[in-house]
Amino acid sequence: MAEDTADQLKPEVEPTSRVERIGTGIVKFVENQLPPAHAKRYMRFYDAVQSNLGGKALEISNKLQPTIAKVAQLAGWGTTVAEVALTAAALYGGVQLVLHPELIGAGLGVVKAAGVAALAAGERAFRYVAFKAQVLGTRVENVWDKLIHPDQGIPRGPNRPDMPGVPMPIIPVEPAPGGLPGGK
Amino acid sequence: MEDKLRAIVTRIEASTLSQEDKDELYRTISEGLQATVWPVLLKYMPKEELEDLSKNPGKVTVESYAKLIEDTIKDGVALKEIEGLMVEVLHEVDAALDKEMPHE
Repeated sequence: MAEDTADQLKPEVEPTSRVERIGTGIVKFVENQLPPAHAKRYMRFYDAVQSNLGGKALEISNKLQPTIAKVAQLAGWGTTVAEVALTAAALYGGVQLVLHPELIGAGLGVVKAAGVAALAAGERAFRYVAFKAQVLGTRVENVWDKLIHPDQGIPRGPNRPDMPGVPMPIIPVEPAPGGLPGGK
Repeated sequence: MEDKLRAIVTRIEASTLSQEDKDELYRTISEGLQATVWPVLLKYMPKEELEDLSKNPGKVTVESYAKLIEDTIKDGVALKEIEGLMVEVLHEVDAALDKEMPHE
């Protein structure tokens, strides 16, 4: 990943609660483990996905699901991994996706509840910015701190912490017939 | 991986954390799992296909995007790496819970 300056790396607020410390640890671990991100030249692609494919989450999900299901079955995957991959592939493509209960494996049922809250109006903007931050090598943690209002889950502009984000429409996703194979 | 995740969720649910804190943890775990996906997809995407879409944004359609993802994952290698990262994330969650909530 691109090198960050010491100032960029330093969080504005040190985690104080144990939940915050757990969350910070997870974020740091994820950042350190991720493969190197690709170059900024793909930003145009991400922007195109955002603008061209916005509002087509269901369509994309339906197109991707058979392939992911097939690969998952061949690999002996559990349902949860395939579903998270499907969700993330659609979501991080800049397309909004609401986690539907029938799409989520049992193990993620409770996580889904938090995920739905996090995917409330305006989450899409955060997802896209956080995703771009990941690709650019910026600490996602700083993006989260600056963009997500802890009370409302509504993202705010990076340079205007006093300005809430504009709510985005939520697109419900129909459950896949029969669900995904697996269940490891 | 599902058994690991289920065990973590069960542990958190049984803890003395407030529901708000539990939701915060679940949200972080969900984010951590999903964060592993795209960087790996990028790593394995057919470069020519990705370059073409990057240089010609008008070509980005549901079909071309889905094809790009499918071409990336169809041999199973990318998804296998994603699965491995997800398992590592869950191990880290477990370790963090052990540290911060040793008796729960």
